[in-house]
Amino acid sequence: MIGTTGEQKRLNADTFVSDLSLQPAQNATDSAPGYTQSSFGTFDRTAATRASRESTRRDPSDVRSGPGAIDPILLNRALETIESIDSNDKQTFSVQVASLGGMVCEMWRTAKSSSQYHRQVLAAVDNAIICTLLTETLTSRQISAIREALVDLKSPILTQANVDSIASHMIDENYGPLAMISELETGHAIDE
Amino acid sequence: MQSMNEPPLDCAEGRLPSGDGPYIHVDTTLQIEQLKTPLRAEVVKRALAEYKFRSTSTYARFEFNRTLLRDLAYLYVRAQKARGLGDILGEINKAFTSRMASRNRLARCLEVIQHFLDIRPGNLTPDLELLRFREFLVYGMTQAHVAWGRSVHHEFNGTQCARAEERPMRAANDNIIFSLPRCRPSKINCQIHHFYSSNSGRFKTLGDKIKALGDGASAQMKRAAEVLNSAAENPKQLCDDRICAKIGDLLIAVDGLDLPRYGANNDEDWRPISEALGKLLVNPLRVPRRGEE
Repeated sequence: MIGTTGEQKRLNADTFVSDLSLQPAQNATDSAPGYTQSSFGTFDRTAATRASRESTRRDPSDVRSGPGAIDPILLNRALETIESIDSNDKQTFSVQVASLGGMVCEMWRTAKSSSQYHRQVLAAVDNAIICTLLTETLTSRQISAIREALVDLKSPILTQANVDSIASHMIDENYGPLAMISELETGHAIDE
Repeated sequence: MQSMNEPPLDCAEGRLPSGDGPYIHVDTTLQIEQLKTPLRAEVVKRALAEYKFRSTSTYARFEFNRTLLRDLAYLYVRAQKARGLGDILGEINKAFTSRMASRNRLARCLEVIQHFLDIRPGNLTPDLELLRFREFLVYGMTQAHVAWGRSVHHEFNGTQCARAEERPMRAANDNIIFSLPRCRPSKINCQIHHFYSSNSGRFKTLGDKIKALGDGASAQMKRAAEVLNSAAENPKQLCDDRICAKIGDLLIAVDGLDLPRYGANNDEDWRPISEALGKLLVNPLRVPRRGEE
């Protein structure tokens, strides 16, 4: 049987929508002002990102929020660890990052019952730790990005704006959002 | 070395640079490489940071949607119904056994799962592992376009591809919404036919180059030459998403015609394209050969 099963139809489909009536109130932010082609000529990217981050945080309209329950004890420990990381001391660095990775991993247990926004921020932190473990480097700006995400996770209520802000910061610090496909041959990636 | 975030040289007045400056037009392959973890991405980013102006094409963004992001969305749908990662592997193996199914798509899906398994911590239960996998997929899908946009200063939009505009989103019930509209000659969504007509001379040059290569041309280039032949008679034949995809690299190249060099990680196809259009080819992931940058 070729190409006639339900599975095959789904496989060939270009659409992944279960229920269109459940579209989120806010579209995923494409990029901050100053980054898009439409605003060609605006090049103060850092300032634009910062402004966007602040404006999206302040603007309560068209965002959905959700309650969260990430283990506060683990979050505090993770914050203490990230503050104490010394990237100049190679011997303790990898141990500290691995320890941080362990804590983040444990957070998934409580993330199960939290909002999708908490889970997305946690994925952003987890992604950053994976990148750090692979590169064995951590700049002060990267520490700041991870710290910001961990602080956000302590909040009982997060919104899509929080997720976009954290992701924006992470991308600025070279944490690619597709770390999970790092071993993929790009030649495959563009041939159907 | 210039930072990736530093402004390009000639853009303060809001005009696009052209001529033989430090400018580069980047293909889908290198754009995707930049989204990965720093081990490989840094090599590309460092190389491209030398160019004061970096552009890509809307059509490249569509290729990103059509291949990698579509497969990640597919994996997410499977992961929503599975009880563990093993279930997903079984499902996709079954789904891709058809002769009509793409081998590349199977390879991509398997490699994503394999890499995820490689980096898993090992102390999570199967359901938590699956939760983590789903969240990684959503994070990657919904934020990838942001990172894509930040790696370049401009995106040429000659084809005005409607399918490039789509962005994956997550609904309140955790479903992923990602729909790529069908394009057919009876339902034209873009300007690819006008783009072809406006640049028919360039496309003819590319077609001639592929013909001249004969058996030396890649299978993809040979298919592209066939499409170019039929488009020469009726450009509206390109208004079909099953057809335009066959000349994707050519569309991206012609879109960035004003720039002096192309960046790509696919020498087999991009070397003849660059030669035909008189451009330099930059591939940071290959050891340079004589005559190349």
